[in-house]
Amino acid sequence: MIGIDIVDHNDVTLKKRSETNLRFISHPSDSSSKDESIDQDRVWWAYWAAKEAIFKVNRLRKKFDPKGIPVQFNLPLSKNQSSPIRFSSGNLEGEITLSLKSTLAIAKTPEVKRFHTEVFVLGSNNPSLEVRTKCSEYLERFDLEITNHQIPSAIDKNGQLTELSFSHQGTLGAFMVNLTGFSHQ
Amino acid sequence: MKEELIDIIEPYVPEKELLSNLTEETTLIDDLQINSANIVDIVLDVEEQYDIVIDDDSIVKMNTIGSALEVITEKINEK
Repeated sequence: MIGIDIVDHNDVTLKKRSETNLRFISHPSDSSSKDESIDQDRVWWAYWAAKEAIFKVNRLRKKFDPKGIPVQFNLPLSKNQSSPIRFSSGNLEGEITLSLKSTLAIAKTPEVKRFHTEVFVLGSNNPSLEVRTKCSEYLERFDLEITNHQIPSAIDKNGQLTELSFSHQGTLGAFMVNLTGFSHQ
Repeated sequence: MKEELIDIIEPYVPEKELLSNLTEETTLIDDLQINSANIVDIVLDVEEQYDIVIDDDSIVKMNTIGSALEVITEKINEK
């Protein structure tokens, strides 16, 4: 199972997060390691995005409660991080990519060995539809079609299902496809 | 207070027509399509406007217009 979350740091509706705002999302088992160079706002969003991605993996039909989701990063969060930082949460694994413009988190169960992610700038006023359309275009090369199930998924001609995960925020959209067991047509 | 809450919420609602026909049962994320990341922004705005502190457990309860109003009223009365 898979999950993705994107945060657009150019979104003017997002207020700057402070250290005290961590109370809204902190779990007692969260790792607290961070480089002194990194802005507290970015630390907040790193935890948020990781927890959102983990929440999506679990696909529980309940409200997102970041305080109930522990995250442990394997490296100190750093302003100058050029490569993704890995994290874990129980038996789930993931990675987070920090940049000036965005924070991207993906999470998955260990059996997911092959997956695809894409991040893009949104151009319409219907971000949910646009993300699904972009994903659908990508899936064509695998002869996969998005299903109408409530849980995001795609199906091939043989009836084999695979998971999808969608995210959008501000001007950015993203999707993730579990390609384990699927080959290019 | 309901009107004040709607004023706070309005900037985070992507499609403004969703603000018509609001009821106490209207949900912030599913009905108003507010991004989950913006729920914290709404809480920060509420705290600033009413000079209250929304405790962590109460945030989870603020998923509808009605429940948000209940939480705010409770915190104002505790002042």
